[in-house]
Amino acid sequence: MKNLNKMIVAGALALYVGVTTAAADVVVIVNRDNPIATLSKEDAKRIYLGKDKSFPNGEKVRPADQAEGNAARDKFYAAVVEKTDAQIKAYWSQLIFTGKGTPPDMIGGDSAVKKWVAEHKSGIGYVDASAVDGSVKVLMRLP
Amino acid sequence: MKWKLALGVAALCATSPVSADVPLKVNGYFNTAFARSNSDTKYLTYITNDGTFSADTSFGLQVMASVNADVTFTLQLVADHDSANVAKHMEPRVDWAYVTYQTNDELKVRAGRLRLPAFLYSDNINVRYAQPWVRPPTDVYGIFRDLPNFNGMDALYTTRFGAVDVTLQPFTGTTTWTVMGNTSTLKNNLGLVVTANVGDLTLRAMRWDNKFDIPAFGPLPALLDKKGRYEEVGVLYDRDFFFVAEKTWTQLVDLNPGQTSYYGTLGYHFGKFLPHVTYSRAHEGPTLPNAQKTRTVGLRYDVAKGTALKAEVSQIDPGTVIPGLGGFEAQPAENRVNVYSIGLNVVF
Repeated sequence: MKNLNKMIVAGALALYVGVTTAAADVVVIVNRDNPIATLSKEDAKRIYLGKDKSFPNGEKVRPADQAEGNAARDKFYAAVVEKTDAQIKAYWSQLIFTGKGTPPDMIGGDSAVKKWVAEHKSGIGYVDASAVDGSVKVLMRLP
Repeated sequence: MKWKLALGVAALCATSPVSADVPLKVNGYFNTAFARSNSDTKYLTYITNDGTFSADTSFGLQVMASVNADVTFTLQLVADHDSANVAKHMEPRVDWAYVTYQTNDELKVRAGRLRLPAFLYSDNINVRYAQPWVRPPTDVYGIFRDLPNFNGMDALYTTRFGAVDVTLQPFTGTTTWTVMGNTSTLKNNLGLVVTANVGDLTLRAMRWDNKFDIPAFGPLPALLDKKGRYEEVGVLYDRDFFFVAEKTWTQLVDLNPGQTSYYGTLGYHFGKFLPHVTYSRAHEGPTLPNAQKTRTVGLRYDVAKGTALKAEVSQIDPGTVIPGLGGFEAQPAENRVNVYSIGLNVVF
């Protein structure tokens, strides 16, 4: 009986941890030296669809992507770009093979993107909030 | 041969710096589909009641090299059905080879070999992953699916008016176009595509003028310096609903009063599934009153990353067949032809 109780508690704990991990905040980050203070959701969407090639202040922008299947990517694309993986892939396929646009560079996971943004003044990325430290600047938080 | 290719690729890789800033981008796509009809009469060169993979099997491989911050070179090899020359079936050809000069965020100029951007799906007709169907509606794209690449130049100018992004794409160049084994020369090509994009909605309009030299064909004499004109309007919406429709006007100005074709497709995204229906009519005009019409029902399933499975059934009323125009090689014995297709599209 005791063991069963332990198992239930462990299970509930695992469920709780699992849920909080899945619902972790995702933040949009830029380089620390980037003077920009705010970015709207629409601005971020336009940057990730290749419609804007500069930040609203006119500085060049280079967006960094995470691989499909990463939790931060799923959340960012659902909340900001509002497209499914297949829709976004179809969108870029049309542009890539007609030379009309190139998608954001696939940089890697949370830590790789953070490192890349810290190293590139024109960089922008999205990572799990827990991955952020003082090396980058947070512009937007997606709860 | 394989060794030489491998060595070439290795040499190419060895000479490019390996970092996140690698200036070489490689992309590709592959399509295949099994299609079968209930008729003996060939549809899209290959499809009969025997069934075939030949009509919709194709691939493309693209390499883009950044020469410097403003200049890129792009090469795309494509192999497909090539109904213009069946002997060259699946033989790779250079469809795109061009230099792009990005002058600023708004304007890029391209020169070299490009594909004609006649209709919405003309310049990416083989990128089937980006389309809901196994193949674009034949009533509009049938004769134009072998629309050639051209040697010339174009420009892409994009500017923003509030929520609307407008793109102007003027293009000019020369090419030849082979239909039913006849090769015409297309000269003085001059065209403009205007695209307006608001959120998930895209509106498109195109006009393209040229002059034709058509060689003598059977009892018909050669036609020289005849005016051709093509126009199109299109609308595309892709969010939860998927909707695309296009209407085209094609005319050999001095010869006939012209023809119109159109299609409309409506679908809805249920997660990874996209069921859709299409209605289309081909080449209607004063001299072509009994036009072909097609009803298509299909399903796209995004089975994995960059991979789509598709199935569709088309019911075609051929009307009075003009060989080559609507996809049929001759008048079918049947008043109604069904085409069943199941396909796979991959992109990377």
